[in-house]
Amino acid sequence: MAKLSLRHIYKVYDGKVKAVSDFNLEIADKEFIVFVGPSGCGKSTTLRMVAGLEEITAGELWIGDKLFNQIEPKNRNISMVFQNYALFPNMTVYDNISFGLRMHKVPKDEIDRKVREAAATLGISEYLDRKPKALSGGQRQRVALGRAIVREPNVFLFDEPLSNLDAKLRARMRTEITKLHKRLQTTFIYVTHDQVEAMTMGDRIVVMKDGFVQQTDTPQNLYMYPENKFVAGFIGTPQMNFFEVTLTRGEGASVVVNHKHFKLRIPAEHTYHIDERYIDGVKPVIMGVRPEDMKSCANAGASSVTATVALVEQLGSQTLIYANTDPDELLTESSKTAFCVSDVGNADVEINSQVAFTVDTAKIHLFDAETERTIKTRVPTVNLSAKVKKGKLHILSADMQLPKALDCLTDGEYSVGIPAESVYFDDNGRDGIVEEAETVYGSRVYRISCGNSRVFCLSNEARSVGDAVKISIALHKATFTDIDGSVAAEPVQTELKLSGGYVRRKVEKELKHFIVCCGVEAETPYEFNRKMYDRGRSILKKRLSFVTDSSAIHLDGDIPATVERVLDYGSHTFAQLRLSNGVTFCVEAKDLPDEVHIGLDFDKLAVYDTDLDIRLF
Amino acid sequence: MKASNKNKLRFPSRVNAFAVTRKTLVYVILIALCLTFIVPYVWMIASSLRTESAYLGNEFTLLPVDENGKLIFNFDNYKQAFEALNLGAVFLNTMIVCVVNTVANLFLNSIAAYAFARLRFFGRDNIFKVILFSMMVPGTIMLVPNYLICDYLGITDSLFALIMPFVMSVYNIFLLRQQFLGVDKEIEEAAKIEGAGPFYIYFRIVLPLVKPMLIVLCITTFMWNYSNYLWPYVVNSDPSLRTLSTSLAELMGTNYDITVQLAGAVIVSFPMIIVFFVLQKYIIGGTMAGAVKG
Amino acid sequence: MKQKTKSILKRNAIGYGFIAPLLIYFVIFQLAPMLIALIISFTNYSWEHLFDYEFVGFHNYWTLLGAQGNYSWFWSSLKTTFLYILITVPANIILTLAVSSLLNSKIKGEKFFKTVFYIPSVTVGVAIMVMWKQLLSSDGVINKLFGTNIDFLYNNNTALLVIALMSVWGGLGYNVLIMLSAMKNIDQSLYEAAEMDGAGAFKRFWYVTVPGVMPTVFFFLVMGLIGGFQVGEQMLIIYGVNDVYVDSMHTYVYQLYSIMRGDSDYGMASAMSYLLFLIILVFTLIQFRLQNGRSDRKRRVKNKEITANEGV
Repeated sequence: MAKLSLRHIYKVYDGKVKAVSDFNLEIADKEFIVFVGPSGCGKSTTLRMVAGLEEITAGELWIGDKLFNQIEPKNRNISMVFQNYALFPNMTVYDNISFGLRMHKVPKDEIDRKVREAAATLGISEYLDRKPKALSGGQRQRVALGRAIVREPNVFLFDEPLSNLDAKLRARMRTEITKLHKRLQTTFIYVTHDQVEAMTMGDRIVVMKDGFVQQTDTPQNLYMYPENKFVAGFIGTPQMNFFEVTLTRGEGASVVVNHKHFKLRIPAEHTYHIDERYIDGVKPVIMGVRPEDMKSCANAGASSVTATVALVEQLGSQTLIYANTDPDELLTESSKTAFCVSDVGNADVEINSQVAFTVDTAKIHLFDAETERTIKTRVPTVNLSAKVKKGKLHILSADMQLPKALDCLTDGEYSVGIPAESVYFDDNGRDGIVEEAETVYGSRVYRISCGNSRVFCLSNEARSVGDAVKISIALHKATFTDIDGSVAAEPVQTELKLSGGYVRRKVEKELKHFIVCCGVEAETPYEFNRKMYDRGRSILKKRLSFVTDSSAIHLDGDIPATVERVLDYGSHTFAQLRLSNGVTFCVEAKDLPDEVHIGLDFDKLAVYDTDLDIRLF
Repeated sequence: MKASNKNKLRFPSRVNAFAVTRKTLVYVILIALCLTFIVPYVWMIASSLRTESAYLGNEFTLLPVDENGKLIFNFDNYKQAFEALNLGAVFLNTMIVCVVNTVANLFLNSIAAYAFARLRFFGRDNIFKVILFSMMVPGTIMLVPNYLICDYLGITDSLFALIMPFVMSVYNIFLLRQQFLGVDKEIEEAAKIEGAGPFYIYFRIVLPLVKPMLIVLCITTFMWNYSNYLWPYVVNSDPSLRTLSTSLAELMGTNYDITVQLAGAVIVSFPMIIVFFVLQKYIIGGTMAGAVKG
Repeated sequence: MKQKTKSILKRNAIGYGFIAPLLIYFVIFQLAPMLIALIISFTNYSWEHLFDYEFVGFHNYWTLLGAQGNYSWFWSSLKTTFLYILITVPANIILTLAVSSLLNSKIKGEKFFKTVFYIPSVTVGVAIMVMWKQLLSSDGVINKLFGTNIDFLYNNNTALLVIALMSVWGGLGYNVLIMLSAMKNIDQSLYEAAEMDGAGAFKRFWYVTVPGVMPTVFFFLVMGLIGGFQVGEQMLIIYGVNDVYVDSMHTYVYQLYSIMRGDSDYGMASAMSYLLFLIILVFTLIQFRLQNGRSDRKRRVKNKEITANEGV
């Protein structure tokens, strides 16, 4: 019925303030989506763009299979519940609920039937003749819900509908809205700043901050696999504890977490997802541990933290213990060594005493201290050591022929970064055993042990744990780094990026349009021009960049290019092309002449506004 | 201490002597000030009912009395004032001007104010700024050219000259715009999503929400036109087009008895004062509300 | 897609439809008059030169500024206007503050007093003049009350003062309402906090009320100035045009009315009104500069706070 698709949506105010940046989301029919984030993160703006109350600066909004950018709100067949209820104060409850139906000229008797039906469902039948002023907050909210449901819209939008209610009523309305969703079987989009609301209601949650989507996932996954420190801290109460640490290799394949006051040992089986580049004892890393993953214990062990207790809160079913590993900073507010432990039951802990806390090392989260992105990804890129010797590449405990494209590698040792998507099942490949398998965003991710090494494989093929498999590595997607840390060979660059502008001029009395990038010109087709013209006249003066993947480039166009190099990876062969303005990129092709003429597929060409740094379409 | 000396039970005094004197002082001052507002009016009414000779004998009385101190109601003053003011025609003129201007003002100002507050169109804010700036220009400047424009339009000797320059008011647009900006935007958005068009939203949703302000503007516009003196004085020289204000000013310069002049002042001013007493809730509330926003 | 331009066109059409009456009105009765006044201020357009008027350049302006010939009163009329402002503006502000704080001291009958003070604001201006003219005449009530025999309105020493006080009296009710609503807008907890800290009634007034109503006082200041410069209607009603007896009340605008209605010298009257506009503009700009200086400082402090908070 109503599948929503938000593609590269931006909202820019006054040509400079970016409220929403590159918002991408596919919403399935009947899904309950929650946008959550602190105030000012752009969640309401996004919702209002879906509603049509706010213009979409750039990007596309599809509902069903129709582009909705320019459709007026009244024709979108959506309804919205507002934070302040937005009831018409001069109309009765009945008139409020029937408003939309009257606007859409529904016959009177049908209106009456629908209104009474909706009122009955929401339990507000006896208030139909009252004015909103005479109702309580909860009742007003029900009227607002009633107004939304009578029109039987394709999509329901909720803009923080419960934030004006008190805690108890909020909890009740929460379950009622969930029930309503089950009953109506319609798409719900729900905006809130309350992570508890988000976690309890949403099928999927979009966490936003500063206009950017931080992570889109199910509540469970957000909790278990936060992609960055912000999501980790935002989801879950009490908040996750963060420690500044470094990582080193311990005995066996274990990893040791070094904090200035304690050390934790993560056993090998929980370390495979950690990015190995951070296990060097130098790079600052932020460790996140949820309070519920720490427990007080009688005696300190290898994986425990000893700290001084500052405060104990008995909540009945659980006990919150606030402790600090640095007794000198016991109660200072901005202390970086304080943390919170959520213990089960009535833990017997005294204030100011030294207590040891065990940490569930399997549930430790690790983030880059600077980018705050997780370094314990679900689909990791593995770094393997490899040797090049006399035209042979020794990798995954076996030799293979070094592809011609990698002839530039001199003999020696390398570290090879292998993304999971470069590993594929291949009957001619190496033997391996599936050690772990899970589903991430619809694809299967396998951890495969291969000799002494392990790689991750992203695939759609079904395998189960313990299966013996054969795998190969697509080397054109791998990065080779030599011992000094400098990159010796990069993955093949298949993206073409052109910076320039969009111009029009008369050619033989006919107005023609081109994209111009430092001497490289391409005439643009009508459909593309129409999209460009939609951006307004200023498009002709803007600095733009055009990006396309080389798979969308065909070789019978009119842009001249020279073949610089042929990259033969065995299974795949690429040609590195150079345009007259010096831009190089690779296309997968064999046996090309020295001079070719390429053409762009304008339907697949992404256009960016360089100054604003937004994607126009 | 005292309580221990005398074993008398006493409730503690609820009023503090200092506070009482202060309160009394406040009342005395306010009532004195109040008298300077009430006495002139009472005196005016009383005098307007006396004979000229009694008035000249003793002007200082708050009761309508004759030379011998007996009450007297000399309505002849009112009869004379009625004729001198040419009240029938003048009152009709004034009412036409007031009613037309008030109705036009309410409608035209509110739609413009709504557009500036809520609709989005090219150049909206710049146009509003220019119009606001015109509020800075002293009305005195407009006097001569407005007269010339009315002359050019050929309406100087008709009531149109009193109506046209005041069918709208920039200040009222400003006030109304503030009101519209105060209307919860979500209500309009809800109406929009439910399928209402801009005209429906304006007339049926928004306008009812600013009703108190509309009432206030209705009253103030009416009153302003009712007592406007300068413009009618400048633009209309035809006696048949006089309004209450100009007619009274005319009466003031004649040799009619002072009591007749005072009767004229009572006739002209009391309708508005009575309206004020009836609608004071709106007028006082509206002035205070306008003050908060302005 | 054409849809987009179409929706923008529709939006603009609706918007301009709503303000079309205003635009017409504004052009005819606001914009055009301003331009016409500017143009004829450079001509000798008058009753004598209705059809043969010609451009005289800055002649009107120089005649006025040089106080030449018939216009020797120019500077003294400005002085009179300033004097009027000097009386009315402080009197207005002080009296309004005093009365409002009395009314704001939780007394009974606040509504009654407000109503009474407001009566002059709803009385037809001419009627007020009729009333006060008689009350202030040489053998009128005021003189009887004080046992004097001064013709207040026709005495050069008293005329301006009396008219100024009359306008303060007439405007009190309105001003009190505005001041009162400003006072009631002050957060009550500020008074409570001040009281807890031991501030007496006067200190509370000085440290809580006065800062709270400062914007309103400024508003009165601006309005008092703008209105004060345009004073003249009361004089016109009482004395008629071209009065020769009571120079002390010949304000600038009164003289302007006399020139326009008495002499019918529209060129000169327009020049006078533009000079007045310039004077008012200069004073308003000075006032706003002073005000902005204050709020700028405040804003800067506020910004600092915000950045400090964000830093944490």
